[in-house]
Amino acid sequence: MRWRAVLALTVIALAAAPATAEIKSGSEFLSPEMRRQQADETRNPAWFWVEQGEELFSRKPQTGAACISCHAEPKQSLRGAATHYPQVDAASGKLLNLEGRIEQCRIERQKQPGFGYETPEMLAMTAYVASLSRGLPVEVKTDGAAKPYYEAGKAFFERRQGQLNLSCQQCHDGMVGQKLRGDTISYGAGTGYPAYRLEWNDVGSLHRRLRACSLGVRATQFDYGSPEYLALELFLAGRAKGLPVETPGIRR
Amino acid sequence: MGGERPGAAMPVLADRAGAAVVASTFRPPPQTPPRKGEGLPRLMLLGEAVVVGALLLSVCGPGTALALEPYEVVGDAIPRPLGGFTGDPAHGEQLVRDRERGNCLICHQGADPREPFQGTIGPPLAGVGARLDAGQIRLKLVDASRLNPETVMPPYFRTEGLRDVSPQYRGKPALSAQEIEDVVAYLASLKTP
Ligand code: HEC
Ligand code: HEC
Repeated sequence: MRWRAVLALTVIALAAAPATAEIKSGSEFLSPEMRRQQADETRNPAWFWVEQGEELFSRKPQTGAACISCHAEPKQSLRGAATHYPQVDAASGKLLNLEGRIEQCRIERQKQPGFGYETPEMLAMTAYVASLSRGLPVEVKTDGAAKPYYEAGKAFFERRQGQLNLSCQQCHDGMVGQKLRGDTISYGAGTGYPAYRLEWNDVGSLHRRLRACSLGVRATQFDYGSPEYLALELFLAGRAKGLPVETPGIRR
Repeated sequence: MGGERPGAAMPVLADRAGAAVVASTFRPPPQTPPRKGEGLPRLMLLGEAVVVGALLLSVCGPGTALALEPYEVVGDAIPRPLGGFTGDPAHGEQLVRDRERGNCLICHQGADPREPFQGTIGPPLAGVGARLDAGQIRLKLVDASRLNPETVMPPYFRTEGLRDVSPQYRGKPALSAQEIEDVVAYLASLKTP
């Protein structure tokens, strides 16, 4: 009865295989023109933020050191850094996304007041640091210390919420490619954030996008950097493993 | 889908591809943290402490749960009008189109093909009055999950068993009994596919 065991193992293997195989980036659902615009630094408005972030990175505050004094040659030393976020901070055991790590450096190492989530400085800095990983595959850890956060994010993604009683999964797995008014629903990969959204006429973080989806189903909007959205961010990144970082993206 | 608060601006943006993009669904939260100027990032704020998460949620406090008009499900229908109300089809049509209230066209194609950017998620509404009777339409609106637990169609007249409802909507159904009747009267009149 060996074939049975083999069959059983195959079934288990299939069941355990991550559903990430066919996940596509949000940019695949854009018009070809918008995709070209995203790829072209001279036509992608989000590059202004990247440039501002680059400048800020080497600017020395009146007291304390510039980022670049610890991270020399950022194009090499920070290449790929963003692909590992969110990650569990070894010292505190807390889940940090890229914004969280930047804020930690700013306050603890640079000894400056924090930027604050969604401020122009934080958006510029996050866009810059993430842009150094452009094209590299998302590679977050979802096991070990990260596992409970990942599981919490997964549970959030799967549960119905809000007055309209819809889960993230119902839209971003079940209705991918369908039209929700003017938008084509994507997998909700989030690999382009911070991104320039036409609707915002501005660059915004992933958590700003998540708040928009929460509001869309008339659910509680969690705070920027809240544990709920951090866990969700880790789940989304785990699901998007292998997809290239596109920051700074352009979205509708 | 109800992504917008009443009174929030509704910009019409031009996408570079030329097509007008009506900013419609899943709009940004109107209460983003304080920001100095829109558009290009301004970095003069450096050094100023910026309050993290000062979200200025202008919520009207948790809604008080009002008892909903009771109804009886018979088979796949709610045969009798909610609260004994008579529906006004013209108002029903308004509700179906209204982006804030019904916002049905986010998911459904309505009876008017000229309406821009309609959804493809639910069945088209044209001819629904020929496919379903008023009682069947009523149950689909009130709580379609009674027929299909996995349904994507939101429950428009239900307050129980919902999770993380935003404070401004908490304890209230998406449509009132009178509004459900208005929409039922309108949809029941859509006989031609
Ligand atoms: C009723 C449908 C619906 C629900 C429910 C929903 N979203 Fe979305 N979401 C959208 C639409 C429409 C867009 C814009 C088009 C796109 O990129 O998918 C979007 C965009 C996104 C994006 C940006 C994708 C990109 O590449 O730009 C992310 C990330 C996302 N959603 C995550 C979530 C999460 C997490 C939840 C649950 C908290 C959720 N969504 C709930 C409809 C929905
Ligand atoms: C988030 C998406 C969504 C929204 C918003 C939505 N619907 Fe639906 N609707 C659906 C889906 C999906 C179905 C099919 C559901 C099923 O059979 O379980 C459906 C089914 C229906 C049906 C039954 C149609 C038939 O031919 O069987 C009616 C009637 C209906 N919807 C009316 C409305 C009205 C009126 C509104 C607004 C007040 C609305 N819907 C809002 C997704 C939606």
